[in-house]
Amino acid sequence: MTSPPLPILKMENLSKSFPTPRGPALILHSVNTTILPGEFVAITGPSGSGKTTFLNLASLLDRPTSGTLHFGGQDVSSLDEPALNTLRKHRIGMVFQRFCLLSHRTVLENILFRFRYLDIPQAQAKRLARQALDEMRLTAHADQPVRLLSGGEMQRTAIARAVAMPPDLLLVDEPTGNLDRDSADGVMQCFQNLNRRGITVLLATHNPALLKYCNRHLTCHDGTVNET
Amino acid sequence: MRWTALINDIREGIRAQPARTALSFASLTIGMAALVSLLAILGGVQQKTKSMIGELGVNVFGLTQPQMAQLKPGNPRLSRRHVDYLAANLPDAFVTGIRLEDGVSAGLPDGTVIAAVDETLFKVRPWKIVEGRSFDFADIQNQARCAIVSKLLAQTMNLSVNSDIRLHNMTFRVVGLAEIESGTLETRDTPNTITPGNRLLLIPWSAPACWSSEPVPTTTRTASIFIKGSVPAQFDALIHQAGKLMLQPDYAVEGLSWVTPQTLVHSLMRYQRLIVLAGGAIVLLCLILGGITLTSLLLTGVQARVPEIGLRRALGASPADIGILFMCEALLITLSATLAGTGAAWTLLALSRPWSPLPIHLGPAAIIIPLMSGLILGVIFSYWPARDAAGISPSEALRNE
Repeated sequence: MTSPPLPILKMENLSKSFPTPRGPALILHSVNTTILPGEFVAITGPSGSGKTTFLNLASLLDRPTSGTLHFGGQDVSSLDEPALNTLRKHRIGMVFQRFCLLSHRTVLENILFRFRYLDIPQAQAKRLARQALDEMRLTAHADQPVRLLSGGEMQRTAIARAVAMPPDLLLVDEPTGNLDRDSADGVMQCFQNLNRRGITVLLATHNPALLKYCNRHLTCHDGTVNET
Repeated sequence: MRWTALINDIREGIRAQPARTALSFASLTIGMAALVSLLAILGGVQQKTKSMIGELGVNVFGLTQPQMAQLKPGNPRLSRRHVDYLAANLPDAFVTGIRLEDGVSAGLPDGTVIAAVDETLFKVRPWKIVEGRSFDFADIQNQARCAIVSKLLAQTMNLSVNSDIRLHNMTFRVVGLAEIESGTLETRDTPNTITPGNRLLLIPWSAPACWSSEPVPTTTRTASIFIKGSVPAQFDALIHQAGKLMLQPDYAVEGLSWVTPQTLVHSLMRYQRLIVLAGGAIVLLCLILGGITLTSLLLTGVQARVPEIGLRRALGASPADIGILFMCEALLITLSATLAGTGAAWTLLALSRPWSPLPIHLGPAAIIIPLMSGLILGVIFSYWPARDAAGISPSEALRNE
């Protein structure tokens, strides 16, 4: 008999509030959810429902106000900043709605930026970056400045950067918000392929059309996160 | 990889705002060039002080009187009488007098100084006989037609020991070659105070001023008197005693200037203070202006690069990494502006040194102090923007994307 896989992410009674002049604003509360390795989870909800806050907590960029957060079986709620940093840079990949690329740099340089704060030999970093370029079908654009790319190509560059060092958890925030339908399909297939390779994907989106790519759906509403 | 990546990041950061970077660079370069110029001038003044004291000689002081034209008619003049009087009353000192003659009308090259001196001159002044001999008592007593020439004059006129040199209608035999450092005491600050120059011809005091066979009267004007104390510990007392002697009714002269190590230092210190105040204020303003421009560049950079900061934090940068990045960018700008400003100032000062009215000395201080200042400026003016950048919350930064 094999033991069940350790959850990649586990939130227990988690809440997050932000200070405001009128007192703390509660964005998420009583969040209890578990994400297992290999899942492709979509989280949907209206604007301001707490999707991005959920992603920020999952990416360890923010700390919960209360409750516990486990990452890869480890309680990270009370970890200090350097320890969170180490987890984030080694095990988490992120893809942003507006790509967040460095416009003065080339496609390859943007992907190599993934290794900027990792102690990896340059030759190995270059090999991994070229591999990610190939997977995202961007080899022909390697030396092109990213500002000259189309929206779809930019998003694929951002994905290549996120997965050049294969993460345990890939967090994706509105990846198709700035893309046309064809580019959006292409980008979603990339995520699907990555998920098939074993990377856990957590996707926040408004777009219900993207749910077909996912195997699990969470809904964020009024600060609560529910299984759909 | 870390260092090359950091250099790459700095380059990218600077490339992102070329106009503002150029502005900061230019203002800091001007500030640094001004700082180097100020240091070079202060160094020059300091060196000049040392050189003037060195040229005056150890335990030596001088007395001088303005040129005749500047004196009211009938006023007593500094003369050989005073030299003899001081020599007789200052037993622990060597006293020498110098009388200047017109070198050009005597037929010597322009810029040559003829000085009539006694046998004690080389005991008082820090000059050296490099070939031949000095004057002796007999030369003075016998009105010997002998001369000592500076090495430069010897080269110019192709003279050597035992050569003959004609002054008006008289022939003098060269008995010695002297090494006389380039004079700084005879600059415009101390007109006709002390005679040494590069081209100097010395003749015995007794050689007549009018180039005739008449003996020189003791009332003939003496340009300056130098006194060297033989007991260093009593040097101040010697000056005091000489001052008292020169106040005696029969020997008092109008407008007497005293050249002592203290007066030289005092006048140059005043000069130095003025330069520090005026130049220092300008330099400070330039550097503060450059620093403020740099801070403004960095603050704008932080605002414009909030998403990039968020990305860096998401990729594992610590707050310290972000702060260091902005500080390194500032340091690169300040240090390159320091190098450019220092290089430009050195070149301009070195080129203008021959005709500059100000003394210029380009020493190690004119490199080390600007470099240290550049480093300190970079740290001070980038601290606030770097702290701001490091304090940005990564989730907030990424929300700004």
